[in-house]
Amino acid sequence: MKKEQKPDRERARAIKSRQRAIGRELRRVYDNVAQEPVPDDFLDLLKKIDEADESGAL
Amino acid sequence: MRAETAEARPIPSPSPRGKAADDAQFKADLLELIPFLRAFARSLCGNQETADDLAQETLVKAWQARDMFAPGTNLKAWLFTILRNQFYSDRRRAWRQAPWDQEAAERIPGSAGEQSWAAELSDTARALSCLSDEQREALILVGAGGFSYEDAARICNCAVGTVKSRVARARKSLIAILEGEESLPPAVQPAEGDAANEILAQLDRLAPPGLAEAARKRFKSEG
Repeated sequence: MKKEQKPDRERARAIKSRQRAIGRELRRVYDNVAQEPVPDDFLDLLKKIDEADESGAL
Repeated sequence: MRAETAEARPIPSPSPRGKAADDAQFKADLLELIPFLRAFARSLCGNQETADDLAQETLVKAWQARDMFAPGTNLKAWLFTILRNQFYSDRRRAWRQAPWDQEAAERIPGSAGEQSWAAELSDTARALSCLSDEQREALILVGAGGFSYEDAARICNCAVGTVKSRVARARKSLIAILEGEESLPPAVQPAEGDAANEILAQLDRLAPPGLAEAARKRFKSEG
């Protein structure tokens, strides 16, 4: 295999850059969800939590 | 919820008005953190619908336990802890059900989740689904959620060193997968002396594949 012939330093650099790419990608995936608008049922739920609380049901 | 949180809580304000104001503030804080709860839930489940159910359950639990939250401490970490506990307790409950409990089987995160990761996302996200839960959650918390190793350890209820080694192993596995040097890694690789990992590995070996398989068969035979 070609990869096995790479000098260690080059290999280490390749791993480092791969790790950075993975880090970026992880944040991208996570941030994509975090940036979605909050669905209405979440807002309804928070509202309901409040009402249930006021009526002493919770 | 956690004993330490309860102990750390300052004396609550006795006036009802103070309580109402606290509640309003707590709710506003919850609202602000919903996007992160959803992101973390999605990273655990993969599947959007299951993840949103989990995030909503977390909100209800957090609201009910709001008096146990120590104001001024890390609410995000507190919520993530609840979410994570809920995730694993839902899963354990699903495992205990009879294999032909279709509804419970469908709720098992992982089987449907992996497909979802694979369907919509990049190579990295797909590789993520090959990691064990512990490695994945550790990597997500530290690598994407921006938590310190200490906070991640608190959320995962394990030692800081354990989180560090899980993150390191997760990164290594991901690289191996992405470089195609390794086919899919085993679901859980127990580390020496890592009791929690070992137990989870045993559970993995015992329960879900058969359960998921039984569910799939049943689903097919009905459909």
